Amino acid sequence: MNRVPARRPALSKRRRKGKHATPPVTARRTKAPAGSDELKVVGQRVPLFDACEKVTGAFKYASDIRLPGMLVGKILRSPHPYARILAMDVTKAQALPGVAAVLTPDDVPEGEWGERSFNYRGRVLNDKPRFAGDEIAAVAAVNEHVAEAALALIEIKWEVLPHVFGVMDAIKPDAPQVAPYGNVRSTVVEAGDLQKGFKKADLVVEHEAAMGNQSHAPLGRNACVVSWEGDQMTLWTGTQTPFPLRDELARILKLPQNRVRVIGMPTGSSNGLWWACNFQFIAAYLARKAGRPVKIELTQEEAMATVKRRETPTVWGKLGVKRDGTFVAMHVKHYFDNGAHGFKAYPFESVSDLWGRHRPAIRFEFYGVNTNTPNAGCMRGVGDLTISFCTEPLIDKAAAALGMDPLEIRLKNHIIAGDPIHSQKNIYKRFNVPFPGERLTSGAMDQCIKRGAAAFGWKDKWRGFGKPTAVNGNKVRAVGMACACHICGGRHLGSPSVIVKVNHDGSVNLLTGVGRMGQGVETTQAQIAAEELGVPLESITGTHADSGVCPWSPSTVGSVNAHQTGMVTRAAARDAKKQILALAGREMKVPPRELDIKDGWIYAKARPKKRIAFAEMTRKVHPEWLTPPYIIGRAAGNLPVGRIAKMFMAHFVEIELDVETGVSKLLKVVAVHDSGRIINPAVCENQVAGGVMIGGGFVLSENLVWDPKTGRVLNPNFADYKILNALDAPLLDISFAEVIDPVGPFGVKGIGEGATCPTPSAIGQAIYNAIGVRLNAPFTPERVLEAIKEQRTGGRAA
Amino acid sequence: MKQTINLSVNGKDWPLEVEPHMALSECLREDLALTGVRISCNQGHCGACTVLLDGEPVNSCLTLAVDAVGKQITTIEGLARDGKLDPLQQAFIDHHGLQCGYCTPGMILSAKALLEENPHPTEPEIRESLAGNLCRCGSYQKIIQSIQAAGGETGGGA
Amino acid sequence: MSYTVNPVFEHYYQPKSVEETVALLAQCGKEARVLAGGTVLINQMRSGAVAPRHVINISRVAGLDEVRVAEEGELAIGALATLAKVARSSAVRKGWPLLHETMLEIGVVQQRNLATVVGNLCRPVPSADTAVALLVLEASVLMSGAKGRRRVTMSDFLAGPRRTMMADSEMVTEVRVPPAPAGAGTAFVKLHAPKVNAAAFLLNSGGGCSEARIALGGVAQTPIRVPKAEALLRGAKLDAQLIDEAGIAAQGETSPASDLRAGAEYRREMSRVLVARALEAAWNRTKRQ
Repeated sequence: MNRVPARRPALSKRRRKGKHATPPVTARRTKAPAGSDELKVVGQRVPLFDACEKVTGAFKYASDIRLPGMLVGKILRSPHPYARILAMDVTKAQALPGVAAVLTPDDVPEGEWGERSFNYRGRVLNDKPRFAGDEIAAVAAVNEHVAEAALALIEIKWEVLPHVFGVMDAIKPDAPQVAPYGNVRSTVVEAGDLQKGFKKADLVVEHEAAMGNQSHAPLGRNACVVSWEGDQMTLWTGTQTPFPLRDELARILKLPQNRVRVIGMPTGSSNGLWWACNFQFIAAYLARKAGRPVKIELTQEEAMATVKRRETPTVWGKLGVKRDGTFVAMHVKHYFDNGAHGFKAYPFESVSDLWGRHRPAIRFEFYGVNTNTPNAGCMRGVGDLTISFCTEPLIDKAAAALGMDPLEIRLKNHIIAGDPIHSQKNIYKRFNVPFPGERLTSGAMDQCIKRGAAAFGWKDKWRGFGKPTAVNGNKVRAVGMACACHICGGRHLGSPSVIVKVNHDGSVNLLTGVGRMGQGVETTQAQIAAEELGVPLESITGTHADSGVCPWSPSTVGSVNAHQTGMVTRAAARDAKKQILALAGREMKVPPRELDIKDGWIYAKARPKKRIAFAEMTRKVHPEWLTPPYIIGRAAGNLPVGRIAKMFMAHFVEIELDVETGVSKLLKVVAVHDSGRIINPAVCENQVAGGVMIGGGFVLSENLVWDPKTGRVLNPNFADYKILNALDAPLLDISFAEVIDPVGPFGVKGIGEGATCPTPSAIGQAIYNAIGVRLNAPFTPERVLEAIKEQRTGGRAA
Repeated sequence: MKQTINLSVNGKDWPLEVEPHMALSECLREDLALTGVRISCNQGHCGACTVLLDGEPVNSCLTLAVDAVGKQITTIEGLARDGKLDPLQQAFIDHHGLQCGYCTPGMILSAKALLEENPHPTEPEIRESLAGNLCRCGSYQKIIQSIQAAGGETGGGA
Repeated sequence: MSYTVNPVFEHYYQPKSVEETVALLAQCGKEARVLAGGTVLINQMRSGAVAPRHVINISRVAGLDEVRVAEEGELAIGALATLAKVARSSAVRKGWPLLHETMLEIGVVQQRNLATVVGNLCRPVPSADTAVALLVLEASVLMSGAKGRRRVTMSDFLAGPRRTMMADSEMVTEVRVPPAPAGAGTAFVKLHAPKVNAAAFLLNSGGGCSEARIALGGVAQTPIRVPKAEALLRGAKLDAQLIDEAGIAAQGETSPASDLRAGAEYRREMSRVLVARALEAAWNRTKRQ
């Protein structure tokens, strides 16, 4: 069979292709920022480094890993939402031919492990399972069928406990306590005097929004393969967080960190699902007990019903506004379901800062609540998607009452560079360091709104709140818009470290600990390194996420990489460059500070014709070492104190709603994003497109449901849990307000997470404009039709 | 009980011993190491395991290996010829018709079948032909653009 | 929740003829299942929803994959004819456009290339699209069994919730669809979440409606005809008001259940909307001929 060598096309070809090939819909770029013409690689629409492997099928995920003698691991799950195991008899399972090991709660530590961002806290196997689907035992066997048969032979004596499913029930003091440390964790972000703030208001509005359960619903399977050699373990798994996973495995296994090698594989679509997950810990213990390599591959059902889902929120908000639209006070209470093992008090949000232009008093209260339902935690757009689903309609209510349009009121109140930031305060508190006072580095929300409105034709389509754009028989067209912001990494995540290794032939290895989930990080980090080092992009190859090889990195979460890791990648490349220039200076008899590197040439800045090829320099035998030079650029470091970057975005949507069936179709989305300088426009357009589809699915079709009696998830599959497909995808017009951020590398901020955030609220506003009712999510046809009927019979007001 | 069968995959015959209950997807991945056949939902809803049977896209997870005897099976690994990528593969690279890559083989094979039958499809025709290939990264717009570009190229040359 | 990688069964047969299949069915009895397209059965066996000991794969039975115009102008759809094949057939497009329209509304390309019309009928979920279309076309089902062959009407074939009147020892060999008379107009409309569908068959005789058949899926335990709504239309002159009245009558003849996707009330209401839409489209099409 033909195997196509995994080869990347030459850069010159890519540039040519990129320039001509992209159709105009998404190709529209903003005016080039000042100075960008000097950049050679950053800003280029280059193909993904791994695109060739992906289109030929050669790309490997964790599910593709096979080792000699490898056993299949399967997990036994609790049938009860809350229960205690009184006795577990595994004799029959153990005796079944083909079974190598049965792992029970007795085989794992009493203590709990904890995910670094509080998305999971629990034992590896639970003798007191907290949800229907919780992991209680595991089997390693020669194949899947034997393993399944063995699971069925495990006999358990249960004491079924009273359970609690609803957040508002679990918050009550007499509710069953899901976790030993109580059900509720809370925190507050606040500034100013709330009471005084509301006293200044001419108008006070309130809004409450409830939302459905969104599943990460991954396309693709994840597996964990573990192999032990003595007291050294190697673990392959798709993960966004290879190093935090390694650290926690080492801690709980009581092994030195260098004996635990996590090889982070690409995750497939993750959207926040595949971090450090309990099945990876189970695989580690199971393989050790079995004495052979073990692979646990989760099924679609397991991935959707047991690993994690987005926290289900209920958000209440109250806004005080002056007659001219100035915000003076905002009070928000955000209750979110942590499920059985989530441990969050704070959803890492930024929206509490977004409307702070006129220093309103703010109080944002957060309550993370445990229930006997599947684990809940971060999903792409965490916090800001759900909070803005309440604050955006809240702002709309104020605008409608004041006779302002949605753009005007937002343009008046959004923050700009230099404005104070409060949303990180509690994180400083967590690390017990004084809060230095944070200020926003850069922000172009105004451009996002104004340019989005122009591209969308907002003036021609906007008819006022509660008014459709056009009515044609049963079909109503309506428009909506919304804004949001999100973090670009954060100091609390820790300091990335990066190595840029220059080989004798001038080729470069880029080593980072980032997770790979299709966000293009391999390509964009290489673009940053190539730019700084002055070498062609194709001379760089990356190795990422292998804890035995790469330096430590924070979790790839919170849109951390472009901004935060990128800053360190650039510094590591600069370090390598400094070393090369020192050697070149001696060679060329020019002080190093008078030299620079561009396009693979080292040259004297004052006399560009005096130059030497990069690869020629790296090949030269060093007079003392008697080999060519070893050049290892390295850097580590966190974001600066006192200045913080946020990404901003505005989405404009047009929908068509069938008033007889309640079916809504998303026709068009215009998205304008301030993510600082764009490293690779094509990668960023794809990130925004993905965000729109996740956000659109959140309100239009996605909802994970469980049996109200047993707590078992009823739709953990693509037949009954509908994600948007090619027929549902709207026309997209994506562009960027490229404001150069003073902190990020080359002015870069972040993009991936925030892209999901404004879409749900924008669609919500469009639905309101179509039918005159503000609805909770998801906007199922049934719910929409019910609202239309109530509206017609003079039912509830908006 | 295992059966001895002969499967014609990517233009070559492969003698195999398989259990009758073995899904074609599993057989291609495990026995022939064609891991470009991706398994995701394993219920025929996501399209990640799409292969061409006599040129038509099917879910290989819903097909038994023994049932594919006598048919020409094409997987993503069979698309490139003599080390040269299929124009569709090149178009997906050039136009960023992919992110995480999991749906990509199935997407390209569905598109391949479409272009064979209809070299210059309209956008609605492309969307219809991709309705069975889910992309959770949401890259549909660039996937569609990739197919349009490849359609233009192959159509012009054919 | 324990879907296995491969489906689970014990014995597997690949008969070459209908006779051989029928003999196997007689021998294996209740513990056998016939496998054709596989889109339903393979998943059922993976999840353990069904666990047949014997699987009889009929894909090697010669002659069953045909879509042809048979004697008396009837359309014959063989037991192995896929939805895609029926959709592609020029005879179907010309003579039975309702079937063409319906096929393209079922599943996605990959599923249509595997799933068969007969398979869709033999496991009649309440919203079985093919059954809804075939009900208004007044199709018949041909079966073979140990006791010989028989032919039953579509509505008799659908015996109850998710079951047919077929005996364990029988198999469907063919579906027969009568030719449409001149002046006929048909339409199929469908909602995807929840799955509710409607088909209409109308005959236009000089501006009046001489025959009306309406079927609905997803609003009762089986796909159903709605005789009261049909009676309203027969012999009448169709206008918007009458179409609305027929929709309301049809709604009254449904008995939907609630499920994950929607409540009974929503389904009931959608039966009215979809019937009206199908009638309007079908009536317009009678005028185009």
